[in-house]
Amino acid sequence: MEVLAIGSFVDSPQNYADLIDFWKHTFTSLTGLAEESYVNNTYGNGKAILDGNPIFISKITADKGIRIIQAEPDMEQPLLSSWIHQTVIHDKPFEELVIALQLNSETYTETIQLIKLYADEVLTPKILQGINEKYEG
Amino acid sequence: MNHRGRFQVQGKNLEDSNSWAQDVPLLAITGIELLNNLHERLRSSDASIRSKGFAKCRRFIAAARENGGVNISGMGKPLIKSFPKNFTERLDLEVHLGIAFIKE
Repeated sequence: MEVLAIGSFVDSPQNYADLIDFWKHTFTSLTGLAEESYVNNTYGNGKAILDGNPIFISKITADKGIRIIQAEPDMEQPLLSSWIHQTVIHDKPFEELVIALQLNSETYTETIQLIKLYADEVLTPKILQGINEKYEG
Repeated sequence: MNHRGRFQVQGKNLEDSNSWAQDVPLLAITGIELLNNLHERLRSSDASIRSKGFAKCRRFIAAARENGGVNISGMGKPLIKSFPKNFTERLDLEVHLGIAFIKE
Protein backbone atom coordinates (compact mmCIF):
# COMPACT_ATOMS: atom_id res chain seq x y z
CA MET A 1 0.00 0.00 0.00
CA GLU A 2 1.47 3.34 -1.06
CA VAL A 3 0.66 5.15 2.15
CA LEU A 4 2.83 2.72 4.10
CA ALA A 5 5.83 4.16 2.29
CA ILE A 6 5.17 7.68 3.55
CA GLY A 7 8.13 8.69 5.71
CA SER A 8 7.78 12.35 6.48
CA PHE A 9 4.39 13.96 6.81
CA VAL A 10 4.61 16.77 9.38
CA ASP A 11 5.74 19.22 6.71
CA SER A 12 3.66 17.73 3.91
CA PRO A 13 -0.05 18.61 4.04
CA GLN A 14 -0.81 16.12 1.25
CA ASN A 15 0.94 13.24 3.02
CA TYR A 16 -0.75 14.20 6.27
CA ALA A 17 -4.19 14.25 4.64
CA ASP A 18 -3.52 10.87 3.02
CA LEU A 19 -2.56 9.38 6.39
CA ILE A 20 -5.67 10.73 8.09
CA ASP A 21 -7.85 9.18 5.38
CA PHE A 22 -5.89 5.95 5.67
CA TRP A 23 -6.46 5.65 9.43
CA LYS A 24 -10.14 6.60 9.14
CA HIS A 25 -10.64 3.94 6.50
CA THR A 26 -8.72 1.36 8.53
CA PHE A 27 -10.75 2.09 11.67
CA THR A 28 -14.12 1.98 9.95
CA SER A 29 -13.26 -1.19 8.03
CA LEU A 30 -12.27 -2.94 11.26
CA THR A 31 -15.01 -1.76 13.59
CA GLY A 32 -17.90 -0.78 11.33
CA LEU A 33 -18.00 2.52 13.21
CA ALA A 34 -17.73 6.06 11.94
CA GLU A 35 -14.94 8.12 13.46
CA GLU A 36 -16.05 10.05 16.56
CA SER A 37 -13.27 12.10 18.07
CA TYR A 38 -13.09 12.60 21.83
CA VAL A 39 -10.13 14.96 22.03
CA ASN A 40 -9.41 18.47 20.80
CA ASN A 41 -6.62 18.65 18.25
CA THR A 42 -6.62 22.32 17.32
CA TYR A 43 -4.81 25.40 18.55
CA GLY A 44 -6.67 28.33 20.05
CA ASN A 45 -6.67 30.12 16.68
CA GLY A 46 -8.57 27.21 15.12
CA LYS A 47 -5.59 25.82 13.20
CA ALA A 48 -5.31 22.02 13.22
CA ILE A 49 -2.36 20.55 15.14
CA LEU A 50 -0.60 18.51 12.48
CA ASP A 51 2.14 16.76 14.45
CA GLY A 52 0.79 13.20 14.34
CA ASN A 53 0.19 13.26 18.10
CA PRO A 54 -2.47 12.04 17.66
CA ILE A 55 -3.08 11.36 13.99
CA PHE A 56 -6.31 9.50 14.64
CA ILE A 57 -8.76 9.36 17.55
CA SER A 58 -12.16 7.77 17.87
CA LYS A 59 -14.55 6.52 20.46
CA ILE A 60 -15.56 2.89 20.14
CA THR A 61 -18.09 3.03 22.98
CA ALA A 62 -19.32 5.82 25.29
CA ASP A 63 -16.40 5.23 27.67
CA LYS A 64 -13.68 3.73 25.48
CA GLY A 65 -11.59 4.97 22.61
CA ILE A 66 -8.56 4.51 20.42
CA ARG A 67 -5.79 7.07 20.00
CA ILE A 68 -3.07 6.57 17.39
CA ILE A 69 0.14 8.59 17.55
CA GLN A 70 2.25 8.40 14.41
CA ALA A 71 5.88 9.49 14.44
CA GLU A 72 8.22 10.09 11.56
CA PRO A 73 11.12 7.59 11.26
CA ASP A 74 13.34 7.76 14.35
CA MET A 75 15.97 5.09 15.02
CA GLU A 76 16.04 5.98 18.73
CA GLN A 77 12.40 5.12 19.32
CA PRO A 78 10.62 1.74 19.26
CA LEU A 79 8.66 1.18 16.07
CA LEU A 80 5.58 0.50 18.16
CA SER A 81 4.52 1.06 21.76
CA SER A 82 1.01 0.56 23.05
CA TRP A 83 -0.69 0.96 26.39
CA ILE A 84 -4.04 1.38 28.10
CA HIS A 85 -4.59 4.87 29.50
CA GLN A 86 -7.24 5.81 32.06
CA THR A 87 -8.37 9.41 31.85
CA VAL A 88 -11.43 11.58 32.41
CA ILE A 89 -13.66 13.03 29.70
CA HIS A 90 -16.38 15.43 30.83
CA ASP A 91 -15.78 14.38 34.44
CA LYS A 92 -16.44 10.71 33.63
CA PRO A 93 -13.87 7.88 33.57
CA PHE A 94 -12.69 7.07 30.08
CA GLU A 95 -10.32 4.32 28.93
CA GLU A 96 -8.29 4.46 25.76
CA LEU A 97 -5.99 2.16 23.86
CA VAL A 98 -3.05 4.26 22.76
CA ILE A 99 -0.82 3.07 19.92
CA ALA A 100 2.36 5.03 19.16
CA LEU A 101 4.04 3.87 15.98
CA GLN A 102 6.29 4.47 13.04
CA LEU A 103 4.27 3.20 10.13
CA ASN A 104 5.39 0.21 8.08
CA SER A 105 3.65 -2.98 6.99
CA GLU A 106 4.57 -4.80 10.20
CA THR A 107 3.43 -2.08 12.61
CA TYR A 108 0.29 -1.63 10.54
CA THR A 109 -0.53 -5.33 10.90
CA GLU A 110 0.06 -5.15 14.67
CA THR A 111 -2.12 -2.05 14.92
CA ILE A 112 -4.95 -3.76 13.07
CA GLN A 113 -4.72 -6.67 15.49
CA LEU A 114 -4.69 -4.36 18.53
CA ILE A 115 -7.72 -2.37 17.35
CA LYS A 116 -9.70 -5.55 16.63
CA LEU A 117 -8.87 -7.14 19.97
CA TYR A 118 -9.63 -3.97 21.90
CA ALA A 119 -12.91 -3.33 20.06
CA ASP A 120 -13.93 -6.94 20.72
CA GLU A 121 -12.95 -6.53 24.41
CA VAL A 122 -10.50 -9.43 24.31
CA LEU A 123 -7.22 -7.52 24.49
CA THR A 124 -5.38 -8.80 27.60
CA PRO A 125 -2.35 -7.27 29.35
CA LYS A 126 -0.37 -10.38 28.34
CA ILE A 127 -1.16 -9.95 24.63
CA LEU A 128 -0.35 -6.24 24.84
CA GLN A 129 2.94 -6.92 26.58
CA GLY A 130 3.84 -9.61 24.04
CA ILE A 131 3.37 -7.19 21.16
CA ASN A 132 5.29 -4.43 22.95
CA GLU A 133 8.21 -6.68 23.80
CA LYS A 134 8.71 -7.49 20.12
CA TYR A 135 9.59 -3.84 19.57
CA GLU A 136 11.76 -3.21 22.60
CA GLY A 137 15.46 -2.83 21.89
CA MET B 1 -11.44 26.75 38.58
CA ASN B 2 -11.92 27.60 34.93
CA HIS B 3 -8.53 26.53 33.62
CA ARG B 4 -7.31 23.01 34.39
CA GLY B 5 -4.75 20.52 33.14
CA ARG B 6 -1.66 18.52 34.03
CA PHE B 7 1.67 17.14 32.98
CA GLN B 8 2.13 13.54 34.12
CA VAL B 9 5.03 11.12 33.95
CA GLN B 10 4.29 7.41 34.02
CA GLY B 11 6.64 4.49 34.31
CA LYS B 12 7.12 0.99 35.67
CA ASN B 13 7.89 2.38 39.11
CA LEU B 14 6.98 6.00 38.66
CA GLU B 15 3.96 8.27 38.64
CA ASP B 16 4.32 11.98 39.23
CA SER B 17 2.59 15.07 37.93
CA ASN B 18 2.37 18.83 37.97
CA SER B 19 -1.12 20.18 37.48
CA TRP B 20 -2.78 23.56 37.28
CA ALA B 21 -6.27 24.66 38.33
CA GLN B 22 -6.76 28.38 38.34
CA ASP B 23 -9.12 31.22 37.49
CA VAL B 24 -6.89 32.76 34.84
CA PRO B 25 -5.52 31.22 31.62
CA LEU B 26 -2.20 29.42 31.93
CA LEU B 27 0.64 31.33 30.29
CA ALA B 28 2.99 29.39 28.04
CA ILE B 29 5.93 30.45 30.18
CA THR B 30 4.20 29.11 33.29
CA GLY B 31 3.46 25.86 31.49
CA ILE B 32 7.15 25.54 30.63
CA GLU B 33 8.04 26.20 34.27
CA LEU B 34 5.65 23.48 35.48
CA LEU B 35 7.08 21.08 32.90
CA ASN B 36 10.69 21.89 33.76
CA ASN B 37 9.97 21.58 37.47
CA LEU B 38 8.54 18.09 36.90
CA HIS B 39 11.54 17.10 34.76
CA GLU B 40 14.02 18.37 37.35
CA ARG B 41 12.23 16.55 40.14
CA LEU B 42 12.76 13.12 38.55
CA ARG B 43 15.67 10.85 39.38
CA SER B 44 18.40 11.36 36.82
CA SER B 45 17.74 8.01 35.10
CA ASP B 46 14.00 8.71 34.81
CA ALA B 47 14.69 12.25 33.60
CA SER B 48 17.25 11.07 31.08
CA ILE B 49 15.09 8.47 29.33
CA ARG B 50 12.31 11.05 28.99
CA SER B 51 14.49 13.93 27.76
CA LYS B 52 13.29 13.65 24.19
CA GLY B 53 9.65 13.51 25.29
CA PHE B 54 10.07 16.60 27.48
CA ALA B 55 11.76 18.41 24.58
CA LYS B 56 8.88 17.53 22.24
CA CYS B 57 6.38 18.75 24.83
CA ARG B 58 8.27 22.05 25.17
CA ARG B 59 8.18 22.41 21.38
CA PHE B 60 4.43 21.80 21.42
CA ILE B 61 3.91 24.51 24.05
CA ALA B 62 6.02 26.92 21.96
CA ALA B 63 3.96 26.11 18.86
CA ALA B 64 0.73 26.56 20.82
CA ARG B 65 1.99 29.93 22.12
CA GLU B 66 2.36 31.13 18.53
CA ASN B 67 -1.11 29.88 17.60
CA GLY B 68 -3.37 31.28 20.30
CA GLY B 69 -2.65 28.57 22.86
CA VAL B 70 -5.16 25.79 23.46
CA ASN B 71 -8.78 26.52 24.27
CA ILE B 72 -11.09 23.91 25.80
CA SER B 73 -14.58 25.30 26.28
CA GLY B 74 -17.12 24.20 28.93
CA MET B 75 -18.23 20.81 27.61
CA GLY B 76 -15.48 20.66 25.00
CA LYS B 77 -13.13 17.80 24.32
CA PRO B 78 -9.85 17.79 26.24
CA LEU B 79 -6.46 17.97 24.57
CA ILE B 80 -4.42 14.83 25.29
CA LYS B 81 -0.89 14.27 24.07
CA SER B 82 1.59 11.55 24.95
CA PHE B 83 5.34 11.59 24.51
CA PRO B 84 6.44 7.97 24.99
CA LYS B 85 9.92 6.55 25.32
CA ASN B 86 8.38 3.08 25.17
CA PHE B 87 5.23 1.33 26.32
CA THR B 88 5.93 1.88 30.02
CA GLU B 89 7.88 5.14 30.24
CA ARG B 90 6.27 8.32 29.00
CA LEU B 91 5.13 11.89 29.58
CA ASP B 92 1.46 12.86 29.13
CA LEU B 93 -0.07 16.30 28.73
CA GLU B 94 -3.78 16.85 29.35
CA VAL B 95 -5.65 20.15 29.10
CA HIS B 96 -9.13 19.54 30.45
CA LEU B 97 -10.67 22.98 30.66
CA GLY B 98 -10.04 26.56 29.70
CA ILE B 99 -7.14 28.28 28.03
CA ALA B 100 -3.50 27.24 28.24
CA PHE B 101 -0.13 28.16 26.75
CA ILE B 102 -0.93 31.68 25.63
CA LYS B 103 1.53 34.52 25.23
CA GLU B 104 2.36 36.54 28.32
